[in-house]
Amino acid sequence: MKNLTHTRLALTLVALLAAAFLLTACGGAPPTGWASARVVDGIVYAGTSVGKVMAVSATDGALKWQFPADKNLTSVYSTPALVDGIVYFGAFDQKFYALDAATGAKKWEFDVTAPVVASPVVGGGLVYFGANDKKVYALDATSGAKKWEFETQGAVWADPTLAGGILYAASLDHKLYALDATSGARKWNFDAGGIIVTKPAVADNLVYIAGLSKVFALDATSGAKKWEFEASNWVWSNPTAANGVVYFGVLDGKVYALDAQTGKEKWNTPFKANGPIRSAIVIDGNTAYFGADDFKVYAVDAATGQGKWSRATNGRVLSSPVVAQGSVYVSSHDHLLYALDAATGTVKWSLDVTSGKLATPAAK
Amino acid sequence: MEFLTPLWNNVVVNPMVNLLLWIYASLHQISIPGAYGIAIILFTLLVRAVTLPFYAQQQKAMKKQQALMQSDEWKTMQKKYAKDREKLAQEQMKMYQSAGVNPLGGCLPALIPWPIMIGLYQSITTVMGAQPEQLMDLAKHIYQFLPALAAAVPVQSDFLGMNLAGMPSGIGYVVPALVLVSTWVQQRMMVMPSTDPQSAQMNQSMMVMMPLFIGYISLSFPVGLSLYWIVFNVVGIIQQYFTTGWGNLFVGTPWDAAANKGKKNVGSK
Repeated sequence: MKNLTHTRLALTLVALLAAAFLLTACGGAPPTGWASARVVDGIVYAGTSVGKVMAVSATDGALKWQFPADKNLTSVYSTPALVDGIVYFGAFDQKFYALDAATGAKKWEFDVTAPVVASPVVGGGLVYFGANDKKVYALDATSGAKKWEFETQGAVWADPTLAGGILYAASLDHKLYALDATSGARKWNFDAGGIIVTKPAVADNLVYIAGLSKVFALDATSGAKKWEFEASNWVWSNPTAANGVVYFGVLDGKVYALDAQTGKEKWNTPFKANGPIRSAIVIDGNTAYFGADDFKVYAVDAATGQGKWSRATNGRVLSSPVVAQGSVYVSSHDHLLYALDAATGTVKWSLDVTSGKLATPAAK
Repeated sequence: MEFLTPLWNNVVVNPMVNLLLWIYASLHQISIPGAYGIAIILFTLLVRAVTLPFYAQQQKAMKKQQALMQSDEWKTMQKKYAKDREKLAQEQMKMYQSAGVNPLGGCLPALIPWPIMIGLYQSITTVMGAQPEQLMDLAKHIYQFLPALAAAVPVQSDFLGMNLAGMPSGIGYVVPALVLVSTWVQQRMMVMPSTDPQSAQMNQSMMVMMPLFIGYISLSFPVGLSLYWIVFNVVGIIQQYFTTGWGNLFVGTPWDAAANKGKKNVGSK
C-alpha cells in the first residue's frame, strides 16, 4: 500500500513540478533588448544584449567603458544618442540616463517609472523619448529636468524623429503624433489602423511610417496621406528614406524598396531573408545592410535588391547595423558585438559583451 | 526536435491565440471595461470545459479508490496484516482488481490535458505581448485572413485596477495570494486520507509545499497568468466538490461535521 501511495504521490509531484517548470520556462524569459550602436569619433557606443551600454574602439574593439560597471539594466532597447559629449539612452529598468561619453560616468538620470524601449533624439537643448507609460517626454539635455510631456493612449515604443521643429512620435495606440518640439502641443495626428513600432522617417516634406503591414507617406505639415503600400506582413523595421527610395523589412523576411514619391515597388521582387526582419535597412553608398531573425547580417544591392553577402552569427540579429569607415557594426543575441568588413562581410573583430573581452581579435 | 515547434504552434498555440484575441476583440468592440481580464476568464472556462471529460475520469477513479479505502473490508484487512506491509499491499492490489480500479487511473487522465493547459498558458502570454519580442512574435500566430484581430493589438491589459501584463504590485499581490489559497484548497480536497504515517506525512508536506511553490512562482508571472491559474483552480474546486464533496478540506476544523454532512448529501445525489 505504501509503495502504491508513494508512486501516486511521486507521479503527482513530478507532474506538478514538470508543469511548473514548463510554465516558468515558457513565460519567464527576460527581455533581451535590441539596441543598435552609434559610431562617433572612432568610438562605438552600443546598447548590448546584456543590459549595458558599452563604448569600444571602432578599430580594434577594445573596451573603453561600460555602464553600469557592476550590474545590468534589465535590458536596453534604446539606441544611444550622442550629442555634445553626452550619451543619452533609456532602459527597461524604468530610467533614462545621460552619461559622459568620455568616461561613462553618469551625469544624471530621470526616473520614468515605466520601461523605456524607444531610442532618444536630441535637438534644441532637449532630449526626447517615449516610454511604456504611454508618454512622450522632453527633458533638458543638460540637467535632465522635465520640460514637457505628452500622453498618448498606448505605450510608446517607436523612436521619435525631430525635423523642422516638429517631433514625430508614434504610439501603440495606432497613431502618429506631430508635436511642437518646444511646447509638446499637438499639431496633427494620423491613425494607421494598427500598432506603430517604427521610427518615422522624414524626407522632402514627407513622413514615412508603418502601421501593422501598411506603410504610409504623409504630408509632414498637415498629416494628409499621400500614398499607402500594403506589405506581406507586419512592419517592425524602421523605414529608411534615401536617394528617393523608402526601404524597410517585414516579419516574413522580405525587404521592400519603394519609390518615395509614389509608393511603387522599385525592385522586381522583394529580397527574401530566412527570418523576420526587425532591423532597419541601413543604406551606405549603393548597399543596403540589415540583420534578420535567421541569425544573419545581410548586404544587398540597394538599386536591384540582389544579395551581395551574408554573415551568420549564433543569435537573432534584431538590432540595426551601423556603417562607418568601411565597417558594419552590429549586435547579435549571441552576445557578441561584431565589426564586419562592409565590402565582404568578413569579421574584423567581435567583442563578447558578457565579459568585455574580444572573441575575435582584430588582425594586426 | 525543431520540427515540433511549428507543429505545436499550428495545432495548439495558433488556434488558441486567435480564439483568445477574438473573444477580447469582441468584448473590446462593445467597450466592456477590463476586456482582456474577462477574455482570459471566458477562455479558461472554455478550455476547461473541453478538458472536463479527462478530469471527470480522474476524479471518478479517485472517488472509487477513496470508497475502497473507507470500506469495512479494507479496515479488516489493515488489522489483519498490520505487521505485514507487503501482504497488505498485495491484498490491496487484489481488492483494486476485483473492484475494477486502476490505482494509477487517477494520474494518467490528469496528464492528458496538460499540453492543452500549457498551450493556453502560452497563448495568454503571447497575446499579452508585455515585452517587445513577445509582441513581435505575435505576428507569427495571428491568422492573416482575420485582419480585425491584428487591429485589436495591443490588448488593453487594465483589469480591476491591475495591469494584467505587469508583475504583481500593490493590489496585484492579491492575485498570487489567491493562486496560493485556491491551489491549497483544491489539493486538500483532492488528497486521499492515508493510515500509513509515512504517506500521511508526505501528503502533509505536499499540501504545504506545493501551494507555497506555485504561489511563489506566480509572483514572477504577469498578473494575467495568475488570473488564469485562479480560474483554473476554482473550476477544479467546483468540479471536485460535485465528485467527492469537500474531501479533506475541513478535516480537523470545527466545520468538519457540517462538511461531512454535506458530503453525504452530495454523495447521495
